[in-house]
Amino acid sequence: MIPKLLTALAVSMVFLSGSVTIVAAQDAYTQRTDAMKKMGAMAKTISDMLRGNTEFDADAANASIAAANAALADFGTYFPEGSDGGKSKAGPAIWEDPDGFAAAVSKVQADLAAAVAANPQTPEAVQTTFGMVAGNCKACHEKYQLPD
Amino acid sequence: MKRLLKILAILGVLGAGIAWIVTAPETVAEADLPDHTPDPGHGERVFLTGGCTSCHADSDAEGDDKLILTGGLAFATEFGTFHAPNISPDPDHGIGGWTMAEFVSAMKHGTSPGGSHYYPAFPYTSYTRMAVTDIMDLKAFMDTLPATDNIPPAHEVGFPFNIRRSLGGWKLLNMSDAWVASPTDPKALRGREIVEGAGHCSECHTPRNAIGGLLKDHWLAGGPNPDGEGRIPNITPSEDGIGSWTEDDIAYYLETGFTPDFDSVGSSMADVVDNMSKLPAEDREAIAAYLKAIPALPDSDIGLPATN
Repeated sequence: MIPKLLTALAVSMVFLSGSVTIVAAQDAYTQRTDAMKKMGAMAKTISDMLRGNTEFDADAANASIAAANAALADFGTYFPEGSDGGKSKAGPAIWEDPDGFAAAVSKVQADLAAAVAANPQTPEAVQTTFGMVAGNCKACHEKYQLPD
Repeated sequence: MKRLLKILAILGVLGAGIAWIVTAPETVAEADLPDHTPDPGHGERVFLTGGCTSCHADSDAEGDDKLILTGGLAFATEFGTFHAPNISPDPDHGIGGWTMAEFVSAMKHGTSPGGSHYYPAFPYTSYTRMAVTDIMDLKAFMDTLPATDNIPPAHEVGFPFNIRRSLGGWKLLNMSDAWVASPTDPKALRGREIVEGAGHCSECHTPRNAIGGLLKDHWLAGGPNPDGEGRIPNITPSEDGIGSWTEDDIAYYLETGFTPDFDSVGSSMADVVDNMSKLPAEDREAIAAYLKAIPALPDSDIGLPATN
């Protein structure tokens, strides 16, 4: 009886830890894609202004930078082991090269903080500030993101 | 019986003779080159379109170091591992000693100066559609780049493709200088030169058959990622592809790396966008016009692991 119970317990624990991992992976996926959407929203807000699709609005530009900065504050923690696969475009290099990835995350966080501090007010200043932040997108996605 | 054997023997010799003839590497002779003074300035534009640095520069190179075409990048495929060669102007270890005709033969026919077939990891299956004058301009530009004496590793290939001559048969089946799509608009036609020629977009965006030939019925409908995990996206104007993108969206993406919903370019396409962003705007617009003009296809799942 007891051994049977123990086996059942062990089996359910294995299942449980399995589902905990899956839940964590899904949470991580949602957390990091939500954060990246804030980056995308900033890029859209600012690039629409700079291309003349919308009227220039320094306050809106700075608000989008601030939102991206807040959204990426814990970005490095959104990639637990095993949270790749499925819909995720997270590339294997994130876990194969954790130091490089951590450095890339620190860099975008530092650049976002600098962008908030810069508080640009003219289209030229917004362009310069945005350019500094946007350089991170391609550089990081090139190494750490899958193509599709 | 004896007679039959004799006929069979003759047929066998004939067959082998024909096979030998049709697998012979093609070349271009110096005398066949057009009367054209190579223009290195235009050659740089061709160089950026082809994205030569993506495979031939050291993978860690940044900035101007990317212009050192040292070779060495490894392509692990199901046929073996190929290593990009040194194509810097070094006369001994690069291609500095090549004549113009040898360079054109390599690009148009995939034939080496020694008269053997190159492996199609070198995408001459696309370059064969390039204008010879563009290839001549490209060489003139590449001659201006720094030389390096680096010797990349040799290819590691299994049977039957370790017999170079067999690639003649491969080329017969899988190589053609005919255009694939037939747009009518002049802008899209210019785009076709870029996409189907020097840009060699189909080499990643089109799936391949069992021996590695491009499946033209699935032109640009996406395929497995040659660099490993994941897939290369469908770029036809379908729902699975980029049907919702406008021409402006495509051109803007090629300039900045931002998709219409402001995701940012990643993976090996980042280098492509780096190069495309340096081209004149009209080239990006031409690519966009072509990509909107080709047949809209559903995602191809050929060669991909089943998804759940």
